[in-house]
Amino acid sequence: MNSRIKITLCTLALLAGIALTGCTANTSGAVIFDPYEKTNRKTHAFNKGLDKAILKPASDTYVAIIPKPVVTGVSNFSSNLEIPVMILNGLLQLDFEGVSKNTGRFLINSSVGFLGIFDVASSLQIYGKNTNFNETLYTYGMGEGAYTELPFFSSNTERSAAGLILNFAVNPYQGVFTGAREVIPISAKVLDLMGKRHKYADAIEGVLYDSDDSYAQSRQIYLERMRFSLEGKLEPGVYEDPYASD
Amino acid sequence: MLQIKKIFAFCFLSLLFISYEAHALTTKQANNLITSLVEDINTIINSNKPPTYMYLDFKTILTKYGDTKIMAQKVLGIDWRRASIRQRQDFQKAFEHYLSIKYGKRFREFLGGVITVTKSRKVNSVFEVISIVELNNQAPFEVRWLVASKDGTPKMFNLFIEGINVSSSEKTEIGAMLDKRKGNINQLITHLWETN
Repeated sequence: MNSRIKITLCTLALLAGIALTGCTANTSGAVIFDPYEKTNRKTHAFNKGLDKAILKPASDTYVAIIPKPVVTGVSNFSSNLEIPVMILNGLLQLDFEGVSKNTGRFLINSSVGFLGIFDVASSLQIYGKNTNFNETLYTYGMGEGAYTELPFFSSNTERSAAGLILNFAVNPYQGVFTGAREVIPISAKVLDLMGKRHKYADAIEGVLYDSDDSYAQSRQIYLERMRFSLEGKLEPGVYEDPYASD
Repeated sequence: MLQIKKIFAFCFLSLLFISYEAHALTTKQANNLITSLVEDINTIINSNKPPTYMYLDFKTILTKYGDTKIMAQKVLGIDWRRASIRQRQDFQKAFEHYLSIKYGKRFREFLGGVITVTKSRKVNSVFEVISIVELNNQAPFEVRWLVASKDGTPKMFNLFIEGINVSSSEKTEIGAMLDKRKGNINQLITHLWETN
């Protein structure tokens, strides 16, 4: 059997498996469903410590010693490597517009952009459609489940955590990066994260270190942003007239 | 007699309707308010002024287009009720300072970019104005603004950056600040003024 078909079949089997086992059901109807808050807060403290002790200093050093075009190039290369999985997700979601956008981007950046190092597509205003397994599971009707802060992977829900597992399971680069080269995608990803940690330092540190409850802030921001990107609309409750009760 | 009563009733209802109409906003008015607001933001973020001056400009925009009293009331939530009139006023001023610096920093990151209003619609009795932020070499994203009628004048009362509800995030944050200060509103006000 063709390895690509195998991957797709495996994915579908995993999707079905996860959908069957399911997430913690939000029976309370609360906008923020966080039954594991106590554990989550501990993980949050751990992640914050990790950021302070390792990620922040490493990213500052990385950006200080590596020339900016290289930092950008590595980040572009890593983002480009992620597109095939987005295309797979787009297919699973039957989002053909997204698939064609991402395919166009991948073809342009992998060729003219020299293996994705140069983001030629963006300068041509060809932007991709960001997607992942969380969106695919959402499309298949899976609820988001409980909020979960994962060590190293910060804010998630049970559904997006399942998506992360699928993301690891589907490796489109089997046979591409072999032997010692196997570390290329993951190294690029780590460097990309370090570059982004530095690029968005103000916003990230504003939430992590300036807030009086960084856990609650990260949770709220993550959930609102994720839901908005999936649903493309705001919660109906926000349209309440503030002058109505006066 | 019945006729006169009917005429009175008609006049009364007409007056009610007229006063209602005077207070009712149109989608166009809401759209114009936010168009002018984002034009002001575009001018600031591309002005090359030092950050401190930019934050002052953001504060001017916030108080000109927004209703900071209603925003302050919303974020303080239940504690607004127990606050004295003086505390409410002080909190509102401190909150304006805090908001313009905190979100001024975010908007400053849009340097070189441009914000454009794309769509407006009425939802219930409020208006939603959608704007798109276009930055260099980055996929565009949405900032949505909510506008309501304050006695007939359009006022912005909330915004959503990529779906993130500013009023609700700040309610969480102000709540956390207040908890940390054991519910002391005066200490909260002092803390907000220390934002830099």
